[in-house]
Amino acid sequence: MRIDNPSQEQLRHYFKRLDEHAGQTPQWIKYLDLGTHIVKLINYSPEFTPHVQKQLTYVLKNSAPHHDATLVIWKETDIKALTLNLDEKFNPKTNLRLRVEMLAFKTKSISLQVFDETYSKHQPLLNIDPYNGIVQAHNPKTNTYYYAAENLEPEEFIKQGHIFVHTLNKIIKTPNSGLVHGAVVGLDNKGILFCARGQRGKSTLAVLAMMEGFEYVSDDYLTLSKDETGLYADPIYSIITLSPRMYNELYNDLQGKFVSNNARKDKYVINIAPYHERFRRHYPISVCMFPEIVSGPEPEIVPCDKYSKGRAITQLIHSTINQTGDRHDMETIRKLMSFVNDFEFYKINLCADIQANVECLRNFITDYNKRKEKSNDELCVK
Amino acid sequence: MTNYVLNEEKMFADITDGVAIVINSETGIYYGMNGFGTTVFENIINGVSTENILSALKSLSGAPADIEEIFNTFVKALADNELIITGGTGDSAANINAEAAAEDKFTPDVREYSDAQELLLADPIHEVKEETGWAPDKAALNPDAEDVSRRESKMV
Repeated sequence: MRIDNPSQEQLRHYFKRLDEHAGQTPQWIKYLDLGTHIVKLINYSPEFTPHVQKQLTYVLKNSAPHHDATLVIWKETDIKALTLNLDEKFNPKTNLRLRVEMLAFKTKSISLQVFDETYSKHQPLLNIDPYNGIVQAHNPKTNTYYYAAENLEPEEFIKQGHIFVHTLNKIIKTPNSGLVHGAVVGLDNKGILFCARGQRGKSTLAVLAMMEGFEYVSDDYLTLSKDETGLYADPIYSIITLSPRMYNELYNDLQGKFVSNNARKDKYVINIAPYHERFRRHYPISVCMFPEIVSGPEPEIVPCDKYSKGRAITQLIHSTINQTGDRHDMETIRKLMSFVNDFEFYKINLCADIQANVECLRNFITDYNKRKEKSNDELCVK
Repeated sequence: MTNYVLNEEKMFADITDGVAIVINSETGIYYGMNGFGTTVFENIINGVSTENILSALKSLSGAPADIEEIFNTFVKALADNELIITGGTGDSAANINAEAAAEDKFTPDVREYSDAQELLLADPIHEVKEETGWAPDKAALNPDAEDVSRRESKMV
């Protein structure tokens, strides 16, 4: 069911209903420090606590001097009732039809989406998705986001992917900042942004680099923000995802706690809180890199030609907007392009020897830093 | 012989796992193709002439009688949207993915995704203020009555 352009009264009613479903007394109120934004997190359900603590360990704070948005979370116990009660007052006939449809098709519930064109043509303001057991909404007037899940069992909830990723994407999104699907590691405050789709080796490379002493921001999702001094990355999640083969290969050395098998058995999710000392905030990006797995005996890093740079940027944008549902959002696409377009792009051809890949990266960034220092010195002399 | 190349001055493109994605670097418009569209597009930007591609398409088992018209329409769509421009001189044979052609019922598709200003309206955190540019507007998070009224007028 779809409701278009509801009145203010309807919207107020919807958000009141959501507030009622969330609960009366929060379990706790904490804050997510995402670098560019601080989110006040109001949790009404104890079942949410371990998921937040495991996935957002690094950015979860007990207090904050201010906040930019509020996120209300709870375990929804009756999605069907929420769907039926939401708009009954305003559209009794539609509601009756909904009840009949539910009865006739024996469906547990029917999805409900509320669209407001002044907000977005493609993203609903309120979305009740009974098939995935998820409720998401945004009240623009108070800048309050809502997120509820029906099933918070660890192996079920992990199917939703990184916790709150779509909501955080909306919160972080400004003309100068955005949530990006990419990886960032570096040395001596010189960051490398890996631009690639999934399954291209960026996670393994980033994680192993972190284990080998590199500074670390993320292997998957991160915040990018740009100002007059440069492009910066901030971490969001304290989990990494590794293929079972890589997990087994790193098993003896990786100091993380197993979280889940990602419910699909193709990835393991691991909390890497023991490596928080390697995490960096507001980490400057120096170069962009396009990883590709090749069959060569040794890894190599070469400058990208125009086509390869285009591929790298396309993959960064495509994987980001695909993960966040922003394919129609030209502003975001233009912004991401403007973030990276002026950087030097290199292609790293990854070989099967993952340690050799990391050493290749270390040599590259060390040489790169020396070259930059030398060129800065020369500029000073001139 | 007619040849095209990727319009590299304007377009970023990537073909991975049989899916072509092209992004207009000036406008931010995003293009996605189905499997058949991708295999045709890949041949085009690899410098295979349109004549050779058409010849390969006609020889595919199950190719419809109007395959030439279908192909020409697709190439025109690519050119009209400036994904490709005339150029190059290649004369190599085409390598068309017959499975993708059959799967997509010989209908190459290029889809444009575009909608400016998406998600930036009615959102206080992203509100534009002349004096602060695009910086997050903290005051907007605690709006006064006048502010609420202004926002409400946007939403109905």
